[in-house]
Amino acid sequence: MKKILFIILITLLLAGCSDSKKYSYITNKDDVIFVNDKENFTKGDLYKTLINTSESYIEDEILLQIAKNLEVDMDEIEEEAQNTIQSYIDSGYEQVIISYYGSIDSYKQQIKKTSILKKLKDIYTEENYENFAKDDNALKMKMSYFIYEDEATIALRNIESGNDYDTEISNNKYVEESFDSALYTNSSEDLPQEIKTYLAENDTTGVSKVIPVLVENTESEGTETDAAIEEYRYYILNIESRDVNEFKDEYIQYKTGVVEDEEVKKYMFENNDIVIHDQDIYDVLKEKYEVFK
Amino acid sequence: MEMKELIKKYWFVVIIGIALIIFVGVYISDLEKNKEYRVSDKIVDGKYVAFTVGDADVYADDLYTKLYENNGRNNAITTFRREILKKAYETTNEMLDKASGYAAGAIQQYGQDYVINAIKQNGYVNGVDDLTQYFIDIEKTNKLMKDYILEHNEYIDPYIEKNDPRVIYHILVKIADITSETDENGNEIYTANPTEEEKEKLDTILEALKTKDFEEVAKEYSDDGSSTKGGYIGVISKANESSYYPVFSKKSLELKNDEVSEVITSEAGYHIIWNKGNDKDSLLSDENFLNEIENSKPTVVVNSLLDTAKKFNIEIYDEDMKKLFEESLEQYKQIEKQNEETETENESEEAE
Repeated sequence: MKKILFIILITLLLAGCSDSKKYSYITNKDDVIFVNDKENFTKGDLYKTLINTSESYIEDEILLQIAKNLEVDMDEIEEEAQNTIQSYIDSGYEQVIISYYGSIDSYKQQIKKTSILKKLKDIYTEENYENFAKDDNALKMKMSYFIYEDEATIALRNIESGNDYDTEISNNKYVEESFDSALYTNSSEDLPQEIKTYLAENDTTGVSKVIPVLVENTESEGTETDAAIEEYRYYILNIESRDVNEFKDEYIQYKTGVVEDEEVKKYMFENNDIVIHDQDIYDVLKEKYEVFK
Repeated sequence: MEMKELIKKYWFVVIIGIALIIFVGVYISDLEKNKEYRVSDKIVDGKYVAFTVGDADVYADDLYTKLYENNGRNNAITTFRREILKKAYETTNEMLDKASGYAAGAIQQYGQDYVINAIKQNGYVNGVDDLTQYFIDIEKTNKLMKDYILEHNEYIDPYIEKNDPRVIYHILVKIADITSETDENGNEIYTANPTEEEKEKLDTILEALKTKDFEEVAKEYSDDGSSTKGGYIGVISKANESSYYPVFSKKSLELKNDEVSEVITSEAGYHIIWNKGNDKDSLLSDENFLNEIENSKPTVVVNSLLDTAKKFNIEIYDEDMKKLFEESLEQYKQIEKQNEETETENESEEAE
């Protein structure tokens, strides 16, 4: 009985103590870089160190594979990078590049990584633009505003009576300023908050009611600056479309320009089949990305 | 049989049973931890795969090559250097305090994430602890270079002979109204138009210098930031004289050992300059003197490291790393050569 228990214990001990962690090894892992007394620092040791100090580089390598799998045109990226480099060299910036990046090739790799990420952003946006547009409350509209509420009210009444919006606005001498058709989202910096609120609360298209917007104007006379003057502007909107498919290209171009790198990386890691075969690489990635936890 | 007696009789079985339960518990807990994602190894054609994306395998060898090109050399050299520094110098409490201060300052100025990420690229991967170590290693590296120079007279004597360095202190009286004109040799000559107050201050200083130490007077009266250090400016020599007001460096280089100058005027005001010492002992006891030699002999950076490595049986085997050091040494030698040629040109121009 004792012997059986002892054997079971030893077996479990060996199983428990055995390294359940897996690592990838380079072929020449035992090549010695330097010897400290009798301790070797090998290429295998350096590989481990490099994994732990190069997390963003490893991310880039994974993204590169994802891009290749998604059939991103690598030849085009290579050619564009080469052309960019050549134009800088022709303009006499070769030494500047070398002093900042270490070598021309390093800079070229940097350009290519940026291009690859841009392509992945395009893919990410293309695959998700409808949801993004919904979250962004993306729409196309024209706007104009009046200084006097009465004039704005009269203009709106004319439009509601059958006048075309564009004709009414272009012929109305009381219009202070008008804006051509443009894409707006709830992040648009040039949209007053009152208008954003109206657009969030009303999901229709067509002409809006008169929307009062309070603005501050600071006037200065000569060298003196007067206190800020508050005044109202009275907006009338013409919401042309809330269907992102009617302005898809424009919206995707906008979204690709504002989407964060990390958001794209996270999406790509979550939506591609990635298997890590090295515990150190896994540990480095799981710090940042939920998908690896 | 009572429980106690049972346990006494079968104590071995009981111990094994308890150990069994503990190990099974640990094993299950380990399984639970990695339940979502178990790292599995993969070997294709005898080569390890680092990661797979879809059907594409990225081999460890290829990843290593890329990582090495990116930052491998730096990392290897940092590891090499750290091993040398560990052996050459013990970390003192003073080093630790100083380094902790620098670390706190760096975090305050740049933010923790930025700083931690910056040192990570150099192989310091353990967060804030390694940030302190990073500054300790800088201190040790500086000490290594200075000790190397002190052990090699071939750096010191030629520098002294060629550049005539001296340890300089000064007292400044700022003058608000200073005019200047150019003499026939193109030199700027400054004339001070002091107020009564400024004149009085100068007289007070000159009187004080008759009975008190120069440093004491500088601390009390000098209008310069160096007053906190008793008027200490640093080591001025022919190699760095252009860093100072021309009239100031000219006078500094004229002064004999332990000589105090008369009052001279620069665009800043009145100066009284003291050459604390231009003999070898005075120079060697000045912390900036060795910095000046380091600046003029950048090969010290590499030679000090390799020399110390030899002392502690740390030997480079990797051909790429050897080549890297050889190339660095060659680059530094070129810089030294260029510096010497520039100095020779300047000397010829001055002679003309």
